[in-house]
Amino acid sequence: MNPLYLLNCRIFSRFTCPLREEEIKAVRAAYALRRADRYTALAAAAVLGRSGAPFPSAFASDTGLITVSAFGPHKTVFATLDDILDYPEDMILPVRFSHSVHNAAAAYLGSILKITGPAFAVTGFEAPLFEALQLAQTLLQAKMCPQVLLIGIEERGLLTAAAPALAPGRFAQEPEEIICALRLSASPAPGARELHLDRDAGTAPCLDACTLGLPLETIRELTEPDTNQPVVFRPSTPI
Amino acid sequence: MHRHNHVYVSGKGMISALGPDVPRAAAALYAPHPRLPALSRKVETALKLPVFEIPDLEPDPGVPGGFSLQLLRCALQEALSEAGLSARDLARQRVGVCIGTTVACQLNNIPFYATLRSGGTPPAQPFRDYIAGNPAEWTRREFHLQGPALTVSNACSSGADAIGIAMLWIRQGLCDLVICGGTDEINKVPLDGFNALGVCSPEPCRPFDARRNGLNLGEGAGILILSARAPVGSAPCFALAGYGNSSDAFHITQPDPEGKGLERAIRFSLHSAGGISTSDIAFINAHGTGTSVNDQVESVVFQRLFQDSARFISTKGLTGHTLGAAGAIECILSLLMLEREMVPASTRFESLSPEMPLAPLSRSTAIPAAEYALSTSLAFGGSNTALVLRRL
Repeated sequence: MNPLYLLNCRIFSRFTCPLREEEIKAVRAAYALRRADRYTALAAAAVLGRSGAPFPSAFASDTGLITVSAFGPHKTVFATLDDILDYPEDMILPVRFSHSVHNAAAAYLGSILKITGPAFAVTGFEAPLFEALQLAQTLLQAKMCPQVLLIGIEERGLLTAAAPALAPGRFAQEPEEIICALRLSASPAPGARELHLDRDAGTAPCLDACTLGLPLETIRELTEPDTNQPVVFRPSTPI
Repeated sequence: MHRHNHVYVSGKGMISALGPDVPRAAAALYAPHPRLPALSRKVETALKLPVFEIPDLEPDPGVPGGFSLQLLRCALQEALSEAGLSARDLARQRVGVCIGTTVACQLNNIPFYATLRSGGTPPAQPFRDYIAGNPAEWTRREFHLQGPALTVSNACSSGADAIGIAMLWIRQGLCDLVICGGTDEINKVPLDGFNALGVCSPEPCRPFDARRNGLNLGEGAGILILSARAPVGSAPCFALAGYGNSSDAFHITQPDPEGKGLERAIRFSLHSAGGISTSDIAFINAHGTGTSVNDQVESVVFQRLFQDSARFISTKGLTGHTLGAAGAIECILSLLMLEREMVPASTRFESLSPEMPLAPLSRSTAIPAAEYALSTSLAFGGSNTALVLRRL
């Protein structure tokens, strides 16, 4: 496979800087996201929020777009179930249902950023970010797009809160809320860092509270300022 | 012309309302009187919406991931059998898994949620099944595979995208073999949700017809085994030749009425197939849901790209709209049409509405020695996908 370069990276989490609700609200207002769910607003704020490392607000129209999540928009799925439980079945809000699919966030981002390149929503519970990075590399190598904007979103809610009680062997504690945005290219650029995807290296140690299969060590590496050291990604142990 | 190594189809498996396996689906594809959809037997609903459920297969509560995974297992077993692959064969190769779905990646178990939201402790099994039932990860674990495992949730184009990504993995040397396709079930959430969107027909759907008034939901799974090596001893031989994906950046549920995104996806798929031209495409298996807007957009784009000679159909009048499985099922049906050198009539098409520039095929049409076919998928979120299939 061709090399993969990280041009920009922002990670919002308890381990870096969390995304403040006021900032999410500001992004909603600035980009007419009133009807969008919080999951989509988180995705938009990952790219367009004011805090965090500098990030471009404009992208080439043929940029590829990938969103990745383990639990996806589970709060919106549950809101649809609220409708089903509380109202006659012909009174479900269509806007809720349409936002409950995983790729609704990618659709909003594409509209906001005027991106019409290939777009994907991918999901998994084992190494979702690793697999999404592999997809980015695949798209770039196929020349389907010159760059890829990869957004990882894990939102907390009723389901994640219940996870430790429902599957204690898998979730020692509630999965963290984490949002990341990575701009990727197959070509080096000033300040870019090379990413190595090392599937054969086995599993990396993973902080079990962290979703997206993003170990704390890798978060620190990715957010380390003023370095162009390569970063090695390995499939992590399951969350 | 760009040259790529071929990406061979070495096995295929399918279950849908059209039949429980590929041979029976192939026979039903050309039946003069196709099966009609009926009110759901398994979803508790007062909605009078006909659907294409799979008869004679009861949900097995012991299967993690629910009915969608049960369907996936049926199709996967058939595909591996056709490819002549055992679990031991898989363990010896670099095998990836790429599966599309919409339902299997949501925890939409209503009794579970009712307990959770009331502050009670719901049973753990639905949650554990949801985690364990991620389709690509389940498949990787089941066969102890070491390659990539990706579940794509691009709404109604998920299955087609999964196959396109799988083709790229083989082309790029990431995998020797990829298990790919899509799976989805009918349950109360999509049934009520699509009804809320006002896109379901109370009658059997009529894709591209002047009287079309919506879609019928369906369920099923379609699985392909793609390989870098030609299948031994089987003739004719088929390949995935091209893949394109683009997004509209237009609206969350409606396609761009001009279809610019669909056009880009088709153009890229032809480029990806070695730079073939539109005249090389023998027929198009369209997304053709039976909704007013979808069919209009596809018809406009086909006319723009293929001119008046475009030959296209929809098979959703036979299977219903199987959501994340649709692109995979339609890919397999297109391969069957290439194999049999015959395209069936577009189900229940009778007359063309004035705003549609082109009509689908209204009778079975022979396509002797046809080499290439195109299968298109459109999805919520303005996602457009095109696959080019080739008979070698």
